Amino acid sequence: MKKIFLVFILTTIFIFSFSEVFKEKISKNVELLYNYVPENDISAVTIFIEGGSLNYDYEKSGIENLIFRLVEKCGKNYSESKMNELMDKYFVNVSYENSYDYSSFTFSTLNKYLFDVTKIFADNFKEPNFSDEILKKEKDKMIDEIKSKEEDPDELLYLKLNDYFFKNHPYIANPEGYIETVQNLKSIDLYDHLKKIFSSRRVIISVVSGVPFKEVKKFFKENFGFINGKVEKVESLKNFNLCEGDTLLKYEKGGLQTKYLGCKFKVPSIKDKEYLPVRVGLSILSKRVYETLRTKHGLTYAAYVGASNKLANYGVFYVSTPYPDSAMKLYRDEVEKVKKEGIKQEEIDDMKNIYQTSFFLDNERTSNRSFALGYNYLLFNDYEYDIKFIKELEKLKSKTVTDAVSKYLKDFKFILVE
Amino acid sequence: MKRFFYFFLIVLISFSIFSETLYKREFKSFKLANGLEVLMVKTKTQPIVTIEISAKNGSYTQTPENCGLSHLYEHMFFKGNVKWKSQEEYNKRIRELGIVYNGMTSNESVRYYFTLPSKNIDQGLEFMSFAIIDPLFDSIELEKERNVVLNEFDRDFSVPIYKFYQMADSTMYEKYFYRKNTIGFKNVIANATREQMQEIKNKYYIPNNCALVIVGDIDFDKTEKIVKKYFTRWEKGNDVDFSFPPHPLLEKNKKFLIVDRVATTKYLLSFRAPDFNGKSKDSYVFDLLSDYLSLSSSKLYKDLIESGLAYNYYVGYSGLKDGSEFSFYLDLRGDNIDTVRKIIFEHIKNLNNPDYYDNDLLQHSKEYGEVNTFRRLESSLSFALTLGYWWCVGGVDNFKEYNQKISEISKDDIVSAVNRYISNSNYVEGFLTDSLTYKNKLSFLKGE
Repeated sequence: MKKIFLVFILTTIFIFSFSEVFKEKISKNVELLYNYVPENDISAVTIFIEGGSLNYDYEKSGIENLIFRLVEKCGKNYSESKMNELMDKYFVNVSYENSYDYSSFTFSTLNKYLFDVTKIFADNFKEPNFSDEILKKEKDKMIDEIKSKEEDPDELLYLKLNDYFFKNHPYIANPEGYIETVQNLKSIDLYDHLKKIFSSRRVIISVVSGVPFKEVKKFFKENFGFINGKVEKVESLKNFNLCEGDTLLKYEKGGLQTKYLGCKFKVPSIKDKEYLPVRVGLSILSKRVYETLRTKHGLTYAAYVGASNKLANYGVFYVSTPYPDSAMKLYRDEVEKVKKEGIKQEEIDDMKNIYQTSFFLDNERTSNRSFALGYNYLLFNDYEYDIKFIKELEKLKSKTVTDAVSKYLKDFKFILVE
Repeated sequence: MKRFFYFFLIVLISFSIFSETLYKREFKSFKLANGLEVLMVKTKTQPIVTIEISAKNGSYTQTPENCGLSHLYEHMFFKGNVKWKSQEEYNKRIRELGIVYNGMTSNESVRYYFTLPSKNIDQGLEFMSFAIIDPLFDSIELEKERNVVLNEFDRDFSVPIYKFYQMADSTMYEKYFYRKNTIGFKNVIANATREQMQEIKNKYYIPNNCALVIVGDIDFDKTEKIVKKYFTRWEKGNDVDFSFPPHPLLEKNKKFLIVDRVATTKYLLSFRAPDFNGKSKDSYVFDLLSDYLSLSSSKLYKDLIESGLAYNYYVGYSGLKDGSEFSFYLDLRGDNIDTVRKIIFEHIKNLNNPDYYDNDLLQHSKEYGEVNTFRRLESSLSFALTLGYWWCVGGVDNFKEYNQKISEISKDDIVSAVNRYISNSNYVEGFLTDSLTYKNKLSFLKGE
């Protein structure tokens, strides 16, 4: 009976997710993934570039973010003013993410404008405009945004945790940039960098659209064919270089009404087999910590534990509270409880339900789907990785989860912002 | 022949009844005898459903004595009830059903939603019914939750921009600010009682003051039966009187300045605008005007952003029943303040001139709004939340006709509304900055 149920769930997930996906090689290092959804009015395109922080040194932190900002803004063939006009005309939404492991540039529009809009961004990537005047304006904005992050205590805590945890690791090259690194970026750096990544990195273009694939294939080949190079192997990431044992650093910001406590600790890479049980184990710990800190003790509005999704990976504990000592103690108690008493099968089964609902919720938006399609393929060589992830969840046993998560719940690097 | 005609007519009428659509989705609504309105929308993209209760409650129903309690009540919804008594049982049920949930309190609506696999719709509706009809308001739970909300309060006020927006509202709506203050007063939250929760429940959490919104992969007939099974027992209450004394208009221009450790300067200019009543064109005019001025091909965008004087700006109309405003928010470098203010006021001066508006751009902003609505409604959760919000604030019929009404707005309508609400009207102006010189701060406050 359970098997029949499992088959039903997986079939449903499959039918509702990537109904029809085509794959096409555009050049030596560019692949197109295409999900045809006839009932869609909106088309979304995501361009992924492999590498992230491994594509540049600390001194060039923020470079891919700056490139994307300028590609959104203008190109050799489109002035800033013309771009603004066209973006309005074609109802375009743009977003980008510069992560530690990749950079992604997403745009969405109505189906009828898919070709017009794709051509504009393909042109801007092919012939960008990084002239001094435009560059200076965007750099000023970016620097002020970096400074603004310190106004928000959550952001400040995040930055401080990263500074500590990523020291002596390639991830110290923050994709969002630092004030001094952005300040020093020059026009030639941007041209060189774009040329370098397009000639040596894997590029995945994922599209979800109501336009038939036959029409799309030729168009994308013509417009993105200029990206053509031999894929160079991205160096493998070493693990974080940190001392053993727990540490606590305090940072005084001042003017805060409450305190912000966070910690990071090592967990397996998203590509590691242990990632799934650790992620589930931390989600269950998160539920327990939330219930203890917020529901039982009323110590906080926000408490969270979870695993990130990076190639060199870390777990996080976060809480905002006027009583950080009590919160830290209760967190440690819950950690010990996991190690001693373990995770129950019932908790895993419940968590699986929540993961499934979240998966479907994410899949409703066209732009999320184009992102997921490319993300899965870039990192796992499998655009259906999400579906398989859900399938694997079904098989998870409590011992596997307890053993895996217990191994990593140690060496907490705490930072307190007050 | 006549018979055939009548048959054809009946078929046509039946078809139109059963094929009612709302933004291209199949839509059906009905009302239970206790007054609960049920709004159902079919979306087939994913096998999930969002079940939402939308209540006409929120800060606008508050008094100085219970300012902040609409929000605390929302927190208490997620506590035990007569069926799932303890917090542990409640949370366990949420996980068993695969529910992703949240609640949100705003000025004129409080919404609670559960998103879950559509195969669990029966259990989800049952769970929602107990949560909304039979909360326990356990005193110990309430005490703990007060601290949770106080921490939320402290978090909000640790962020400079939050203080800025609060200051803007309290300046614009000084007399009855408690009707705009969702997070509330700290002492009121700290001393909230079970009796106050019960009072809110009896007055606002009655079926004739709420809507049940169900959006997702559903079958209308089956869903209707389940709704009747669980929500018929909800007892009708006295109709709520929403007639409050109106927020007074500004008698003069008001200015405020907050100095904090911020990297960029935030600027706000805000006018009182028409309250939303569904009948007047004016509310639609201000929505359209906001969209027009927000276009990146608009003259305002060119003058502020392309020129490099400001980083971002936002123009918006709040469209509420109990006090609305039309505002400009900007993020800029402190040394550009004088120039930017000059530009903004120059644009405002011209808003009542028909020549200010480009015909093509005006038409485009109408379409832009429409496309953005469809984008927002791509997700069944957003659809449910939008529909629930409209039910509380603007009415479902106005939501249905929204794009049509926007498309009918002319330049003359805009000019007329601007003349009545903006030109020569008083305003609130505020800065959040640390980059102005002392002299500049003084001159701003003196109104020079």
